[in-house]
Amino acid sequence: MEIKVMKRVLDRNQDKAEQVRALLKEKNIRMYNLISSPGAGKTTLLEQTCRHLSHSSRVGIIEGDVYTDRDAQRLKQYGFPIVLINTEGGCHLDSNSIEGALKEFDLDRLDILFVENVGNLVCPSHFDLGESSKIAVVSTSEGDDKPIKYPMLFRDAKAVILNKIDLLEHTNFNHDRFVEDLRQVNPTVPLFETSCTRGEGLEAWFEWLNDEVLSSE
Amino acid sequence: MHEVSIVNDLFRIILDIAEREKLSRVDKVHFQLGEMLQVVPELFRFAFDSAKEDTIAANADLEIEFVPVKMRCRSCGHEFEVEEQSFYCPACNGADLDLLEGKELFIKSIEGE
Repeated sequence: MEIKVMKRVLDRNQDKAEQVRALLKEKNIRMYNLISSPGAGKTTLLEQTCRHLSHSSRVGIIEGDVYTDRDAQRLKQYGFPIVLINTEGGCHLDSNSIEGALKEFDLDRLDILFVENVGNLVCPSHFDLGESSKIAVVSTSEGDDKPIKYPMLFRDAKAVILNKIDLLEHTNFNHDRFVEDLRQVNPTVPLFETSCTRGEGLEAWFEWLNDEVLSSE
Repeated sequence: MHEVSIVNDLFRIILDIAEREKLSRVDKVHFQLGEMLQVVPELFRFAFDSAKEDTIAANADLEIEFVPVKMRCRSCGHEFEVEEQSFYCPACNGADLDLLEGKELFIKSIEGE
């Protein structure tokens, strides 16, 4: 006997993500889901961004880490509330863990939430967390072929950050090819070229973020 | 290895339906998989075969139907399949596209007794 089902797998994650999205909308909080490979510079980008926002916005951080709290330790110094989610080896965060993490914040005292997802380009892009936008972070040291290899992330991203631009001359990263591939996958997404360790190129990112947050109010 | 998460959720649904339909065994699962999702079929099958052990689907076959990425151009309305990851409209070169198909993660049907 054949039973017609037509049921979407991961619908539970999607339902929960919509609940999270509705809650954040009600509280007027923007949530940004930062996705990259391990070592692309998400934490350093967050450090710079937290430093920039430390006097102007009320920020919260949800830190996804496979086992440790090292990234959370690095971000503590900016004085913003941080909730750590250890995935115990899991390769992505899901909306259920985000819902749990949100309970740890005073949502009436937040403007912006950053989620640092687990370092991975494929899995996190499948799991809607209820975020306002996904931000893709790539670095010059990991090669120029990421957009064409992982089109789903680069199509869904509302902004792309190309980090470690200061290392460009020491790598075989082909900048023209990267931009060409990115445009092929997503012709319109804003691209920010940064060196988060040196603080280069961040102004444009801060400006975009500021406009993004204001446009939602 | 998001294949494992997908398969875990897949089994939750299969076993729910099997219980509802009072099936004593599941023989086949028809699954629709969008190519945009970049699920690795081998890993997906491996996760499926690991998850089915000791369930009523222990001998079930997994049939995967791949769904190509299909877009509609918002400027000219042209619908097309994406080839070689080029997300431009082949008719008008427009870049403002809506995804029509390619993110499917659907259980279409299950067979069993």
